[in-house]
Amino acid sequence: MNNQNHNNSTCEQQEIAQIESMMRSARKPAAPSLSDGDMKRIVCTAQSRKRSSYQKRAGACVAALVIGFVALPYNEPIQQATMKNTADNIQCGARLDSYFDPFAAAMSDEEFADLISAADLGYGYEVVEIIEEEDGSFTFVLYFYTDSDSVSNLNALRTAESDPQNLRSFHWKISD
Amino acid sequence: MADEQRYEHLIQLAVRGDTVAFEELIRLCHSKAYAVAFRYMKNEQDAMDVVQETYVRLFLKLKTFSYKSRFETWLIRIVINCCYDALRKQKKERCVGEDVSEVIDFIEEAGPLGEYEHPEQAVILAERQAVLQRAVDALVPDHRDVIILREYEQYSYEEIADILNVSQGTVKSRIHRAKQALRIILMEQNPDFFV
Repeated sequence: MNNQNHNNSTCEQQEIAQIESMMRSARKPAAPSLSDGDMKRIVCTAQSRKRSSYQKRAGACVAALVIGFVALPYNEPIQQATMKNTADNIQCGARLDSYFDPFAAAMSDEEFADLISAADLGYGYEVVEIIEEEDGSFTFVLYFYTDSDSVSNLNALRTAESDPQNLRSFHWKISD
Repeated sequence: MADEQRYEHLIQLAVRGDTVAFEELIRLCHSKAYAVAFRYMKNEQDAMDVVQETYVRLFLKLKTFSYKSRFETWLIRIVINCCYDALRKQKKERCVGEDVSEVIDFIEEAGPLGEYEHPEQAVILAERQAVLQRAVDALVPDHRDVIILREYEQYSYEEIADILNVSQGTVKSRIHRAKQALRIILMEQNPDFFV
């Protein structure tokens, strides 16, 4: 019985050694060199994505300003009502003090920021979900945009559940 | 100048908008980035598409590089992410006849058949490499990553841990499990492989 186990184990080791030897002897592919044209294309594509990313952010800022401006007359009476109640103000202040944005905290961790940066397709991303785990760590579900067009990005984000290929989960724990 | 110092110098220049420094940075690590991309994509055209997409992302993200990991390992991490993105897109477009074209790819990769004393041996070898490559493709991504990085590209445990952002212990146990899984896949799909 022991002999049989020993034989099986030896056989397994030999087979794994055979696999290793084949993988290590696989011919190394020679990298085709990058032409000046390739280089120019890479830089141009990157610069154009950068521009469209700025445009997208600027568009979002304009939209936020418009919404804020439209909502202003409605906010005023609410603000006045709240100001009358000192207790509410204190509670609100306390809430603001204890407000903790786990994703912002995670992004201040350089290692985590590197991970996100490496996964970014160059068009930015949206934090879809933040899950607080029992051990105090966090799981962030991010949707990575695949397009510079903000309308198609929004549509893609809406259908992300049925097409999850650009959704990624990242786990992060506050270091001691 | 040591590699890391050279990279750091070029990164600083590239971040300030020096495209010549960016081009030099790319040329320095191109062969390594291409080698990894080729293992995932399995043909020159797709591998080149992936590395070019990698460099575009690199250009956009370079200013966020924090020097916490080595530049090369950070870049390989981007390459792997780009490969998985490309493979996901390809999955929908896969066509019949892939097996045959894979063997042809491996024969081409092996060089001119005239270099071999027995050209038929080169064909058999290419077929076996294609079978092995298919088994590697059948591994779960965690296992496939470590096999490609360690066995095909000979990265150290430390480098792989840095690329995949896991501990060295995790890398070692994944490699061990990946090899066992590979053996089982080969036995199931090609019982004659070990004969």
